[in-house]
Amino acid sequence: MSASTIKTSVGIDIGGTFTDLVMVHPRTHERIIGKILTTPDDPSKAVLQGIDELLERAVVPLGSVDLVAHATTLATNTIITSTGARVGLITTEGFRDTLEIQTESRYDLYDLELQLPPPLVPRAFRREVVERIDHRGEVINPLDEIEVRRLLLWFEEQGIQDIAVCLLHSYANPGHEQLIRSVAKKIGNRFRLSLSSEICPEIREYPRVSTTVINAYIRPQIISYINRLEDGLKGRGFGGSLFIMSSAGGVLHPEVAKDSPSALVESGPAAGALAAAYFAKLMKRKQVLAFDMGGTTAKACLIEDAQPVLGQEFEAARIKRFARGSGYPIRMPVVELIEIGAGGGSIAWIDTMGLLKVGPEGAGSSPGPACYGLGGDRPTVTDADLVLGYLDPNYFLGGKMVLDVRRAEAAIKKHIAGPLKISVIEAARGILEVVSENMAGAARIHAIERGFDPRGFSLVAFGGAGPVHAFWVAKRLGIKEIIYPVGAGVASAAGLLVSPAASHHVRTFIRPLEKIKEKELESVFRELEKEGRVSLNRLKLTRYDVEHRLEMRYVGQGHEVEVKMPARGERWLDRIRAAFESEYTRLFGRLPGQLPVEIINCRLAVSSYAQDVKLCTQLKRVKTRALKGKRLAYFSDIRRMVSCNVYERDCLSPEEIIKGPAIIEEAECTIILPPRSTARVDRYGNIIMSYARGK
Amino acid sequence: MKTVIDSSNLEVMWSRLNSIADEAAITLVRTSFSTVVRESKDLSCVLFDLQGRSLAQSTMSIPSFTGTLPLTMRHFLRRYPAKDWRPGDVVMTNDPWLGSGHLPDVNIAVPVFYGRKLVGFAGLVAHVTDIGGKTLSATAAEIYEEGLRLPISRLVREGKWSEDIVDLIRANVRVPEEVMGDLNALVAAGEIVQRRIVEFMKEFELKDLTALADEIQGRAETAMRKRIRMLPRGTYHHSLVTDGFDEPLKIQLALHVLNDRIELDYAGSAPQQRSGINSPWCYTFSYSVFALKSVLTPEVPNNEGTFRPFTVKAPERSVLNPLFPAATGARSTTGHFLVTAVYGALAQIVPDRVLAECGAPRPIVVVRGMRDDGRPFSQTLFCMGSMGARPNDDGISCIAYPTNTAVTPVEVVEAGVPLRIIRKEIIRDSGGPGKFRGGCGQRQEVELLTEASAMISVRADRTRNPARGAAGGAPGSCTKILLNGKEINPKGITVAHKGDRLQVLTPGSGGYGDPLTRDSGKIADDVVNGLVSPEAALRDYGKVVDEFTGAINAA
Repeated sequence: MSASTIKTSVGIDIGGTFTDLVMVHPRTHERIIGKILTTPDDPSKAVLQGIDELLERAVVPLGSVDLVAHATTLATNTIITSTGARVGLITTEGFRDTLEIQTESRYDLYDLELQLPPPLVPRAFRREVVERIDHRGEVINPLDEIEVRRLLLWFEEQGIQDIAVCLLHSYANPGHEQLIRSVAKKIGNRFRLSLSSEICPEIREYPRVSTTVINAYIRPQIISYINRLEDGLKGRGFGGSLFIMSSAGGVLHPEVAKDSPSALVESGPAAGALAAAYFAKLMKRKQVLAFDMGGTTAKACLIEDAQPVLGQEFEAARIKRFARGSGYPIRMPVVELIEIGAGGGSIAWIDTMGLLKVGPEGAGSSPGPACYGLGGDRPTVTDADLVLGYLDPNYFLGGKMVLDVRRAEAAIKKHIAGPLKISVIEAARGILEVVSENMAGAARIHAIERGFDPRGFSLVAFGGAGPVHAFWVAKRLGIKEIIYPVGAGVASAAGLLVSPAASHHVRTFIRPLEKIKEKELESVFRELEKEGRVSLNRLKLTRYDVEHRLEMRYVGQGHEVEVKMPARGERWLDRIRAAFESEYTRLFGRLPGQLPVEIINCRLAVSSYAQDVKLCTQLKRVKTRALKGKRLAYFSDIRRMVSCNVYERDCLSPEEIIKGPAIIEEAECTIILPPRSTARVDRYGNIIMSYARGK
Repeated sequence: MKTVIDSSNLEVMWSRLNSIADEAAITLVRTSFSTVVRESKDLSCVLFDLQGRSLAQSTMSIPSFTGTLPLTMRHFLRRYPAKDWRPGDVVMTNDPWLGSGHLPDVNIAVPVFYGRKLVGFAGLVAHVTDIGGKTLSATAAEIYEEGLRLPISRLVREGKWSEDIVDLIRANVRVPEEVMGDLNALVAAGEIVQRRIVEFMKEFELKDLTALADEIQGRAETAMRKRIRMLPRGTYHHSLVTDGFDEPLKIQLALHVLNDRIELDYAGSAPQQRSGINSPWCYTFSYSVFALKSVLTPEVPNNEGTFRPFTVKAPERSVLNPLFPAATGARSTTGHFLVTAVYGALAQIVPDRVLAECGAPRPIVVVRGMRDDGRPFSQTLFCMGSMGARPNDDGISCIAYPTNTAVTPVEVVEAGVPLRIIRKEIIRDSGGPGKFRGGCGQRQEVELLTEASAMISVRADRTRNPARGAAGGAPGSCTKILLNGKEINPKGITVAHKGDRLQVLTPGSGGYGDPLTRDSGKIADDVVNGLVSPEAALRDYGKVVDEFTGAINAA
């Protein structure tokens, strides 16, 4: 094989502060990491500059790169900062207010100052057309082309090009929505249309219209961004493919991303989840909880059989931070993750009842935790970590920043220890306990709602604050093993390198199981597979895996249970029912009796691994002694400070074993090994910690 | 049990209990058959200690249930003292006086055993698909007409379902399979609480819940008393008039602030009615204390301690404390007004913390008929009113208040039953003018598609008495219930035929503050968005606004 044919891929993840880049060198197979400050005004600047620097350092020409896989937070930022397009919405006559009146309920029972997320299209730009299709897809009242034409021209007069279309029951028959598109084409190709029957062809009009409007709202930003990126890469001589990560953890062709940018809202977190899935596979763990804690939030997601668990709906831009029901629903396949306001910068405070609370308010990076000495005087999680001895004041961010222990103590004393009449150490311990429970509680509910028992899981810790807190979160969840992967700091970018190309397709197909003809069901899936094949062909992929799922319920229920569809064969429908019953029992503990079952949605996912990248390479033995000193740290089980050995992670060798209490440091994060725990270094440099429970 | 519960441990344990209640509620929603539960979330889950005192409740809860369920638990314990409970028991009732005010709500409790020791209970309540009797309206004169009444009974004893009770229920409801599905959903949710509490106690090394309960309830109680002490002592009167069934109904409240407790006395309110608009005392209590809590300690998780500083009195045989065999099916058309009454009284002392009157109660329509293939159907449509203007903000349009049911999606309704929803939209000029505008009501129009005729039963109010404004704000619009354009009985049952169209116009809310002081940018936005007509802008706000550009000219 000649050198020129050896190709490589680059993964790029844009975060709030840093843009991370990762590649595996085509010849040495070393992992090469780049970090560059994000350029919020035009994120493509940092991406392009980062690639230049990374390749220069690796001495690899851009011509050898055949794939750039990219995760972006642009979609979600556009929603949060309300910087999207002026959108026009077309609805069925009588239903322009669906977007505004939402679910008509309150997410907080007692809050008289309740706020709902404001509609992204003001009422004046929500316009109706006379038409009606029923739930079986039959046209009750036809749509008049002339009316559509007049309406589109009106939008044009208003300077509106981005149009969302959501007609009632369009999931059952997209005809009228497609007619609107063809009228728009006849007028000239001046509009960008988002049709609900393509973006989210599912029953329930509010989540569908919300998703479609989000799509239209963020679309111009995404299009211009991807265009700049493509032009920049081409201008540098890049001849390979650019792939964009979707919320569901599969990469998309740039043109698909431009048409349905609502699929990119959880792009970044999905990349992180894929990294966790990679480690689950590498270490052969069946069930993994990925735990990522940074400065402002903590995220958790479940990985089963080396795949992130997917959900079908999530909320963007929650108006009351982290409160379920206070955001814009987006009904699209998504790596299911929970995010709560619990990070290193989360502020500790005392509530009306004298209870110690942590977050969701955070100190941000400025003024930041009290110990930063930048003027912050309210105690944060990082301040507690410092007081408890978990962080080295002189080795924060590898020594780039010196932390002030006295300021941390003073802040905790003033706001927590003083009012509660306890010692500073007790207060710091309390902050740690509360923030750990906040995270563990959210993760527990997340797991249980999906029918998983978290006790059987391994926890994989990512993020700057993840490894410090992983043990306490794991302990509260009853998890007995924690994995600290190598390169946890750039995990999301690494996840991009191991991501499959994937596309997800859904069809609402409401039928009682007993009335289904096998052929009919098969043909629905055949149609879906055709769609999937088209989208993979765009990525020049012809070999792929297919997964068939059904959303089912008992006739009369309103919420579906997702079931893996058994392959067609003998007594197919009976086996489908059995699969449903077994999943139902797993989730809810009991069956309601011999009631009829129905199918609501058919889902199909096609995926293809375009690349087979080895992220982890064999760790070499290092001569330098890893043990670099000792320091005191507090452990609540034994309720006192104990002396811990402190190790430098980069100097650990394969198969080395470290017994707790101990501390392992690297530039980006710190690992705390409590008493009675044991950590082992594997041949790639990942650290696996287990501990004995009990008194 | 650790003898001292410190602030961080307590926070950790308390939030765990709340999330256990949440998990049970979510299970109930996902496994229920009743649209009223699965789409509209008409349910609650409450955890109790050994004495039946409430510890925590689900976030997804209806205000009425959060007050009634703790009372129901006491009744359960009176009937079956703690020593009589066994693992695997399920006790239930739907009695309006012992439960939550009307028959469709089935209340259950399951015991939580830690090892062999009883440590507490889980209480759950949900509105089941059907309970027999007349379709819910206000037309019943006595409870006997409203359906099956189940006294406190053991539905399940040590894991074994009582065949007699199951048969009795099945024989008395229209859709027995679905009702049994609903009961199963309740029991499944209760079992989840049992498992989680045991895990919780193991993890925190608790032997019982008593000390924890004392602490949690004590703190909530202290917080509430502290807030009450900040109110000026005295007696504050407020009265209001509802449409009633066949004549206007008076609700009279005296709110006594007494040092660190509050006493509410509804003496002087209308007598018990020979229609279904009676609000049993438990329901009266529930909405009264909900209103107080939302003003005084909205941020404190709800439990027994919250209620301790409150006393609620209503004369026997009054509409707010009717005695058996009063009919109670439409209790919400009276009970929801109690929040208004309490806010009205509090407005005299804390005007900056209460809402203007809300477009409530929201009309409820039940359509019952027969499909063309002969199968029966029944659909409940909650038609949400609105939330009153706030001292610093507009009210919210088309939202449930004070109750908290969610809407069933139009597409789900149409896919399930032979009804077509023609429109569902905000009503222009329905929000009461004010410095802050009241929330707007909505117009919902429904067409019957079946060959057979159907019965439409309605529970609505405010057809003659609009939600009033506060601090100089003006009233919102009235409720209207029309069939083919003609008004029908807003608390009655009406027959509809194929092609008939029912229109429900839900009430708008009162405004807050003088409309002439409203920000002109907001007036312009409202006009451009069609929430306020140019005519109303001139009449109510004194501004000439261009309907298309929003440009304001001097009047």
